[in-house]
Amino acid sequence: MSSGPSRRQVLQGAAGGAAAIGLASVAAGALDSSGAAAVAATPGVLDLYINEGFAPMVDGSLVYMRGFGDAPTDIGSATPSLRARPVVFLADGTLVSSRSYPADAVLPVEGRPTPAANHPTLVGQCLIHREHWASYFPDRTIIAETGSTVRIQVHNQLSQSHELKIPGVASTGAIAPAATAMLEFPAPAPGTYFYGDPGNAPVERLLGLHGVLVVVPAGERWRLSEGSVEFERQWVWLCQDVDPVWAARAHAGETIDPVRTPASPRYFMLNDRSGYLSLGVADDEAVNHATHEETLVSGFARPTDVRDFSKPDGHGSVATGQLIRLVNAGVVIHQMHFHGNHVWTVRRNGVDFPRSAGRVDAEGHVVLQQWEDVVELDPLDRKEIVLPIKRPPDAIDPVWEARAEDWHYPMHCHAEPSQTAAGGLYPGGLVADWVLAAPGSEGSEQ
Amino acid sequence: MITVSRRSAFVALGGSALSGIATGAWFRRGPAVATPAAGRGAPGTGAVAVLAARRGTVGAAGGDGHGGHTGVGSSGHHGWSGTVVADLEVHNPSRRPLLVSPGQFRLRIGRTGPTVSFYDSERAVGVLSAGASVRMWISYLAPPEATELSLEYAAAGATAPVALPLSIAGSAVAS
Ligand SMILES: [Cu+2]
Repeated sequence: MSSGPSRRQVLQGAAGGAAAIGLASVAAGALDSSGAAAVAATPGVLDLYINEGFAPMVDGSLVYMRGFGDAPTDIGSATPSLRARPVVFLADGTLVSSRSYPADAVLPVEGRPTPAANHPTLVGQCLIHREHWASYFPDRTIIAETGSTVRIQVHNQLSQSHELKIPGVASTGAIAPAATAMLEFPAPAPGTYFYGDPGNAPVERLLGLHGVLVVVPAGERWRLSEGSVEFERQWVWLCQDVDPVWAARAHAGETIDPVRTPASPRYFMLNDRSGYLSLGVADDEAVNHATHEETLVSGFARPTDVRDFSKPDGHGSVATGQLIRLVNAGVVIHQMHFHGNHVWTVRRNGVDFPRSAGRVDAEGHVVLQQWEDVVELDPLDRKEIVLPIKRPPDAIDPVWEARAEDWHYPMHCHAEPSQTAAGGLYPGGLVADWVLAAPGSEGSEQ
Repeated sequence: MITVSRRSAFVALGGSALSGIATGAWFRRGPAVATPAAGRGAPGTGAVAVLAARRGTVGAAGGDGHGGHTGVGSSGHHGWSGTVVADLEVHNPSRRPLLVSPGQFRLRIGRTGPTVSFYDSERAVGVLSAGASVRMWISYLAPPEATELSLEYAAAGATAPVALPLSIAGSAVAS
C-alpha cells in the first residue's frame, strides 16, 4: 500500500487558507447523540441500542438504516450508532470491548501473521507460529468464550417494536418502543451464529438490524471447536445487501410487504464496506488499516494438509491456513469465489460436513468437506471455510522462484449484480482480495 | 478562489450579485425538502447553493483539480467524454452537525433523462459542524452534446430530491 498522502489530502493542502471549513471525517467525528442518554453500564452486560439514521453508501448516497448500536443516537444524528464495536464475553465472567481476540495474543500488523521461520526445504514457503496470533474482528461481532454467560440489554429507541434473536439460541421477544429487554444465555456450542431482528423477515434485518456471534472454545482458542479445525488466525466476513427503496419507505413510516414488493438491493457490502472501500484503497488510511486488519486475508505461503489441520510440521508447529466465518445477512444467494487458492469447506449452519460418505441434500447441495473455489452462501447461512494460503498449484517453479512481491488475488461474489453499486457502478459491490505475501516482506511484530 | 465569509456569500447569492461567479439555484428547506409526511424528525437538510458550473472534456483541465486522464473521444468507446464540474456550497443552518456527502448530488441529463453518480469530488463524505459551510467541487461525466443539465440534491430524510438548475459558464471546452 502506498504510504503517500492521498490526492484529496494534497488538494486540501494546496487550497490552503482559501478553503472553506472542511468536512470532518465521519470516523473522527464526535458522536452526536442528543437523543436519550446512555444507561449506566452494568459490569458484564452489553448495552445495545436499536437506533436509526443515515449511512453513506460506497457511491456517497445516504441511505436510511436501523441498527444495533452501542450508544443511543437519534434520527437527526450526523454520526448515528448503527453497529456496535466488537466485544468479548470471557469465560471468567468479564466483558471487554476489543477488536482483537485473544487479548493475550500478538496483534498481526495490518492483519497479516508473519512466519516463525523460512521452511527448511520448500523454496519460498514458511513455518507458521502456532497459537500465537490474535485476530481482528469487524463491527457487529460479539465474541463469547465457552463457559461464559452472554448478557445483552437491548434498548429499543424506535417507534416500532423490535427484537434481537439468535436463531436456535435465544431471543428477547418483541421489545416495545422505548422499552428495554434483557437477554441472558450461556454461550452455546462453539461456532458462528447470526443475530438480528426477525421482524417482517427479511425487512428488519435488511434495514441493518443484524450482526454475528462467534463462540470460541475457551481452552482451544485457535480451533473452530474442541478438537476441530485449527487455524493460524480467523476472520469474520459478513455479507450484507441494502435496498434503498425499502429504506426510504421504512423511513417514511410505511410497512413493507416483502412478498408484494420484494427486495431489490442496490448496494452489497462485506463487513460494512463495498468496492474500493473494502479493498483497502480508500482515501482514508484509517479505513484502509481497519480493512486490512479485519477483512483482507493475508499470509505467507505454507504447506497445508486438509486431512489434518493440526498435523505437525516437524518443527513445532502445524500445517494449517486461516479460518473464514462466512455469514449472509442479506437476501441474495451469495457465491463467494476465490482466486489463487481453493478453500476447504468445513461446516454449514453449525453442522460439520462429513469427511467421507458425502451426500447431496434436498436442495442439491453437496454435503461433504471438499475443495471449492465458489462457496454458496444462502440468506442467513453461516459457513466456515479454511483458506490454505498455499503456493498456487498453477505457479510453475520459475514463476514461484522469481516471486518478489505480494501476489493479490480477488475474492468476488459470483452472483454478479452484487459486484455493482447503485445499479451499475462496477466493481462497487461485495468484493475483497487476499494476499500471498512476498518472501522477505515480514514486518515487525507489534 | 474568492474568499468571503460564509455569511456574506449567502447574502450576496441571495441578491445574485456576487461578481465573478455564475450564480445558480439557491434554496433552503422548503416544501420540496420538507420533513417526511410521517412527521418524524429528519436530519437537517442543509442549504445548498450552486456557485458555478462549467463543462469540459475528459482529459482536459476541467477544473476538477487533477489531470492525468488521457481523453478518448466518445466515438471510440461510446462512453461519455464530457465533464460537468459544479462548485457548490453547503451550509448547515441547524444547531447539530450534518452529514454531507458528494453522493447526495446527482447530475440529470436532459429534462427527463437519467441521473448519474458523481465522477469525482473535492471532498469525501464528512460531518459539517453546526452553523458551518463547506465549499466543494463535484464532477460528472456527461454526453458532450447534452443540454438542459441540472443537479439533484437528495437531502437525508427528504421525501424527494430537489432539482438545482445549472447555468453553465461558457461553452464546452475543447482542450
Ligand atoms: Cu473470478
